[in-house]
Amino acid sequence: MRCDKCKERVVYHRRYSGQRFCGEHFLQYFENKVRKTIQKHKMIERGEKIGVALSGGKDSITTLSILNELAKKNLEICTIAVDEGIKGYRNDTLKSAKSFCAERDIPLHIVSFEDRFGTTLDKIMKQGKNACTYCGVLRRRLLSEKARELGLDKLATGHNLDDEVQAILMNYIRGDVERLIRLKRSLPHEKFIPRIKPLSEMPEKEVALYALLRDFKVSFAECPYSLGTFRASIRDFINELEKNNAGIKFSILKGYQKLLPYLELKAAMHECEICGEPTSQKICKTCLLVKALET
Amino acid sequence: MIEIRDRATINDLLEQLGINRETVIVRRNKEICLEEELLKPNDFVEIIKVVTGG
Repeated sequence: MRCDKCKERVVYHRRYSGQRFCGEHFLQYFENKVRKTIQKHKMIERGEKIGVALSGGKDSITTLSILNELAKKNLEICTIAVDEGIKGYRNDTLKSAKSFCAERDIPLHIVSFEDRFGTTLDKIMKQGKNACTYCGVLRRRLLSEKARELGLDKLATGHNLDDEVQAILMNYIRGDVERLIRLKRSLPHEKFIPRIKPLSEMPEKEVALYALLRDFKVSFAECPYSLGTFRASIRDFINELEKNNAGIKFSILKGYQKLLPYLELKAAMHECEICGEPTSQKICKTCLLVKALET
Repeated sequence: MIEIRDRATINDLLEQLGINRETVIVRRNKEICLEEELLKPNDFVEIIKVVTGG
């Protein structure tokens, strides 16, 4: 089978559009599409200081690589990595993050659960808590604090299309309309650094192929705590649908984007009574979870 | 050891192993390939699980 654009051997069949790409044309297609997504959603403006939340996995490394290329056109890039304290997993991905940044002379700031909260995700798990809830909330808090300290204009994350679609379905199934809206529309607050997701319209498989073709030294290992979670069930369900209905992930995202104008955020943003961070509640989720660790 | 039929594709192999094609990238003889491609005797196949999100 030959590439639609040249005579080279095909490495990717984009089933939902029928296009076939050789390696070189796949890389071109991928980078163009990410750039268009950034422009379409006006994610970045010239001269901004952008931080990339870097785990060292394929998604965040790809996000960083593409933004770093764009940075040559008047952007300032740095990265923040969070060490949650997951033995046998995070050390490897942090190693990838460190070497990727060192090779390209990109500043890397590492923050950890241990330093900030005096505990690790491994210890939290031993207390019988829900790993994903704690990890998500505490990680977001560390990223927010560091982003503010560094004076960032935006914080980029490596969320891909699969992540977005999983979150849409999870919130829909749980009936959590407020979170469903906040996936795309956050409540403004002076302390809140806006998030951008340049890969949000790229399927996870395409991100992985990009990372492989670019020969990024990244691990494809799965977080040991993600097995058997609600998100993992939703992920498997969506991939089963996608297998027999190519393009269903885009349909779910487009349906959500059409629905969004009809949804209204009722909550207002104010500051947590304990820590002063922006929250829609009296006490923020971080303070509630940290308190629960003490009991 | 598994047996596969004549003129089986990479996708047939994945189906037989119970692996969803949406979650993997396959290398045949060290080169990334399409799931539609036919397997040949003595092919060396690597299945890389790439869907790790969470």
